Amino acid sequence: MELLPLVSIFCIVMGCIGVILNTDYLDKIIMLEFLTGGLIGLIVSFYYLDVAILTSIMEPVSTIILLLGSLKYIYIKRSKRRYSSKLPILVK
Amino acid sequence: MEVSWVELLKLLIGTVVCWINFVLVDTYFGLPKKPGVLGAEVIGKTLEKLGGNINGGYFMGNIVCSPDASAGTLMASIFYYLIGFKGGLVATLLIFIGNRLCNDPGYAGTFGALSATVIIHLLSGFIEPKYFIGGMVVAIFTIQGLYHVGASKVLGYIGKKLGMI
Amino acid sequence: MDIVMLLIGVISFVVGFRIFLTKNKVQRLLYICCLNFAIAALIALYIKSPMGGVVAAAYFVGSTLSSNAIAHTLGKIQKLEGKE
Repeated sequence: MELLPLVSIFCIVMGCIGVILNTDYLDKIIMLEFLTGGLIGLIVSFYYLDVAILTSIMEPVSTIILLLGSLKYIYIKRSKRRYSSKLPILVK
Repeated sequence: MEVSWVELLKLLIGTVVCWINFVLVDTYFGLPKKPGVLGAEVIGKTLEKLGGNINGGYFMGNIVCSPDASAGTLMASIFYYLIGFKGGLVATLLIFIGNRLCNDPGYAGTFGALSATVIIHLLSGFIEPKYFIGGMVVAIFTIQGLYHVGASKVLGYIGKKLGMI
Repeated sequence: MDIVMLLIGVISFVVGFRIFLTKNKVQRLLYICCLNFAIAALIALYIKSPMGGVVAAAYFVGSTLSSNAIAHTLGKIQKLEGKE
């Protein structure tokens, strides 16, 4: 058996278990990165090279969007102001 | 499967050559002196908190956050293995583009890829380029994967010995 | 199967287990950097044509960019928590 599919399947399985077990969301994103490496390796091992190039170019874009969302979440959670009290309440 | 000692000796020589090449080029271009981006600073301070050296921590953070001479050595050996001597020059161009993407000046990666190409071309009579690929992976494993605190101490010692801090 | 591919495979298995077992986020990032090197080398050794080199370079630059973004966010969060 060749070695690249074996390593890729190992990375995908361990990444899935890690995404499920970790509770912090930054840990989840790191484990998702670990999974994506194995996924690109599995795509390459079946000789779909153009799909692999496109996946590896598009993958940082999705990671950056996830990180921007998490950073926005931290800012909202840290700020002391309560937005709901400033807003006009329409339905009581 | 039988292991011949000649192959192991070639792999060991490739590891030593790659290790010396990328550590010297990175230290000369000032990676341990200051963190280039914010992520490298975080990695250096965390490794100092764990008990290591802060300059070695900056070195390891800079390797993680942008393609430096380590990536240049790996790409040069891969393209030399696949195309030939022209492939090393292609790898240099790719590393320069990658450095610009990661918001870095990018002289260390370019110079590292050029020097690795020249060294592999000089040694190609004895050692095939395949062993340099394996040697580069083993060399990066001894720094980033084995024992972080000890590796940062060794890198800080080398930087202090060369007078680059 | 020659010795170079076998050695790189063993290294990637060891590093994968260590990513799964450590708790510190910064050390996880360092191990992921080592895993990226190993997978790029395996791709280039598996496909013996110039297209394989292009795939390895694209994968390596993309994963480095992603690690850079994660480390930058880690620094932002630590700075935000240190201020309060």
